[in-house]
Amino acid sequence: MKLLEIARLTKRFGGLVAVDQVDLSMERGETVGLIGPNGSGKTTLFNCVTGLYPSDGGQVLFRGEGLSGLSPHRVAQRGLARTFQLARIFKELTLYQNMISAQRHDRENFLRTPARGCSPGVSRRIESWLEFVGLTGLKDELAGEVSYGQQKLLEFAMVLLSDPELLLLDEPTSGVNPIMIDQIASLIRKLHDQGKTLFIIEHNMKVVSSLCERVFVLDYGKKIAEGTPAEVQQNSRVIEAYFGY
Amino acid sequence: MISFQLLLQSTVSGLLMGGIYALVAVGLSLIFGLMNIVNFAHGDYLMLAMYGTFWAYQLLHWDPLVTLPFVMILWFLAGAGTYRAFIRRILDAPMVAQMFSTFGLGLFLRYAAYFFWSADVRKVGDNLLSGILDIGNIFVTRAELVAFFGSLAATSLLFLFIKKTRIGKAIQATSQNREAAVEMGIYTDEVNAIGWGLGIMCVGVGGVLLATFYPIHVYSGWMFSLISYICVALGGFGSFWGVYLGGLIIGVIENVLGTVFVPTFKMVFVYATFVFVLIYRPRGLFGKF
Amino acid sequence: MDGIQKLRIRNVPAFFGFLGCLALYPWIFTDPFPRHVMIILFMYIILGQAWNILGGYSGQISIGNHIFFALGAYTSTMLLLKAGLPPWLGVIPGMIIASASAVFIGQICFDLRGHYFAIATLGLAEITAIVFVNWNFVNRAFGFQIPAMKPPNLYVQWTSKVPYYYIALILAAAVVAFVWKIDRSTLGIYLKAIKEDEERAKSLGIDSRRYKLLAFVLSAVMTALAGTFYAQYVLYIDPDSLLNLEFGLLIIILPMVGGMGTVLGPVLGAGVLIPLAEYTRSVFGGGGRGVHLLLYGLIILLIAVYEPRGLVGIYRRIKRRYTKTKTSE
Repeated sequence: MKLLEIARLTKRFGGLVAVDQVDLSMERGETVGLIGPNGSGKTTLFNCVTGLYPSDGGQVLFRGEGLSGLSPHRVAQRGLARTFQLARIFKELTLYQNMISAQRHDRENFLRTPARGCSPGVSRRIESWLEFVGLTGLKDELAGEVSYGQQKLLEFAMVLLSDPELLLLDEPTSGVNPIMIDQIASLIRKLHDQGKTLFIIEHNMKVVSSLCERVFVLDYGKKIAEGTPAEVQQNSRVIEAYFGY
Repeated sequence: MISFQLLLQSTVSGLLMGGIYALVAVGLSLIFGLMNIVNFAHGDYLMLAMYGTFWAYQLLHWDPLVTLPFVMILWFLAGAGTYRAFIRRILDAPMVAQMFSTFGLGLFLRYAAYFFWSADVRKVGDNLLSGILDIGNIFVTRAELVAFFGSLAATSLLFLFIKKTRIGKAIQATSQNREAAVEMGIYTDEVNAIGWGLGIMCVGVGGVLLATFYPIHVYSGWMFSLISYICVALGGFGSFWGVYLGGLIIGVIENVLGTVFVPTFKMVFVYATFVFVLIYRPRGLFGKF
Repeated sequence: MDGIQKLRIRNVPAFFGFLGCLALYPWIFTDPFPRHVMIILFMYIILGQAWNILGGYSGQISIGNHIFFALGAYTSTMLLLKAGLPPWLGVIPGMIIASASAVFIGQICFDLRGHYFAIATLGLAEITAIVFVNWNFVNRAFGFQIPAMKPPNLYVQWTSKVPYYYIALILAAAVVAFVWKIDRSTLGIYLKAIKEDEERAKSLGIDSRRYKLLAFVLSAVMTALAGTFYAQYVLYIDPDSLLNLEFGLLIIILPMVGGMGTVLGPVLGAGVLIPLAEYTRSVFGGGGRGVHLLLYGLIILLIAVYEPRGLVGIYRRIKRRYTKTKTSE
């Protein structure tokens, strides 16, 4: 059974069809890319999968179970985590508190609210993920006061804390300097080596080529190609979509 | 069962009152459409216009219809002035801050009025519009009738202004997409100020018209704030005539259901309509979002 | 960037020390009026903190909290008058009814964004007021008068203000401590996350609806408790005094001016604005009933425009500037 199966997924906004009968799937452990020109529906697709938008047709199966109609928090509790194109973290909280907000939420008895923030097991995991992204020293700083690159790294650590089965990354390397890009790319590679399944929206073709085993291409909401990064870069339809000829 | 006569009478009275609600609501939605701010002080400007009419009558012996053009100009300036002084600073503030600022403004205006003029109810005395008409067994006061057609005229003029003039088109553009408007070279700051000016001018006109037949009291404005908000929610954001229609509908609901059932429960029906709309049709009847 | 961090009460001993001073107050001020002012102040601290949990921490601005105040007051009073139930016990059904109402209202209204929710709660409060005025069961506009009952300790009524003072003080302190606890706990973190970016919180798996309902219930329960206290303090309740708009507005004005989403905000807000009201009332005499609200309106407007984080925010700004000048020496 494939980890994620999307069949004929459709999303309309008024007269505009943002996602048009898209089919795609991926197996556990894969790192799959989603590319396409601006406005081709990639983020919208993510939003439909994670429940932020209700879809207008098709289905999404995760581990064989449907995700349609589920509220975003239920989707997250099933094991899907996602980052946003513009890193969304909680600026009014410290990095450590941000991590606490990201802990696994399905098993808790929410009436019990430990004073220090979480059980020892969870705090160990928080420390280790903060170390993974290199932010241990900043853990008591307010998230709003660190640099944007660091916020992006924080968002990474947050979505990893709950040990999700599938990670949806929306333009993980956008908006940061080249050194940071390499840092993030190597983080992603490490995650892949740890066996995580990753679905990545990206514009940076170098990153896509080096990280993704397979790539899907969207244009105006439709899937126009799929294959390895090399195959897709040669595909005439893809070239036409990006360059117009 | 109540008579058809009574039903008809209350519908007509409701419609006439609804015209005022509609005008006030249109002003509110103009401001909201432009900068996404709910003006909780809206009704208090109405109340001040009513008092203005009263004092002009009392001290200068001006008929309300004479006061009207003065109020229009002054209230336009007041609206633009309010924008320049306060609103412009909170355009990008969190929603809570925006809510509280107009809220505080309204509170200030209301209790300043209370301080100066106390809680006594005032009424404008005999004027050009006094008198009751009998139209096919339906009784309407001349004042109510003029108020209705006055608001209709005001709304229509405003509509034409928005649709046909350059400034009006700038207002439309800014309401739809502020950033795009800026990029197109529109001075959104000026547009916002004019929008506020027009919105408060509507309220001023409504206030003068109301003062001809409605009791004047420091709290009367607040109720209109709420009702105009409900009208906008009912009519739908982004739809000019939708909001106007919303006003008429609320006026009718309030008066008819209030007459048919218990009069003191009038507002309950209005609020119930509001909650109902919010839950089942948050876009409003004709809204665009 | 100005982060809203909990204004840490660095020393728990300092907190108790402060309480100790407050405990001495009735011995210094033996007239009923200063004691009354403090009692009302404590009550508004409770109401402000209750509102703060929902509005300041989770971001749902409600203008209808006074509904729960009335529910608490009416429930305990009616149980006292009709069934002889002492208010110590009667307060519990009041809190239960308040929480049930909060769940009901929350389920219907939480999907409404921002000002929609605020207006909806206001509308509900107004409807409740109209219903009460017309409902025989609660004695319509006449309300209830609580007659003298003995023994005073059982029926929570005393001729002296001193016992009321201490009860109010203890309740206020308990409420502040409770909010402090929430602020530092996981629940506090979740609520702040929900307030800042509800969608993001949900994407992380936080069931925002549930937590907001919890905040609402806590808010309702504390407000109802204050309602019962008030009923026993003034021994007369009617829809006009409990459900009027001014009161509903006051409940949110104080924490907002003090600083929403902080532990000390509601305390500062009440601490500054209530004495201000009393002072203007005594200076302006008869017309005074409006003046404090006039000032409040102005203060709110200025705070909202220039320092939305309230008095706590102003304090932090000053502290920052002071530490900056210190380090630049």
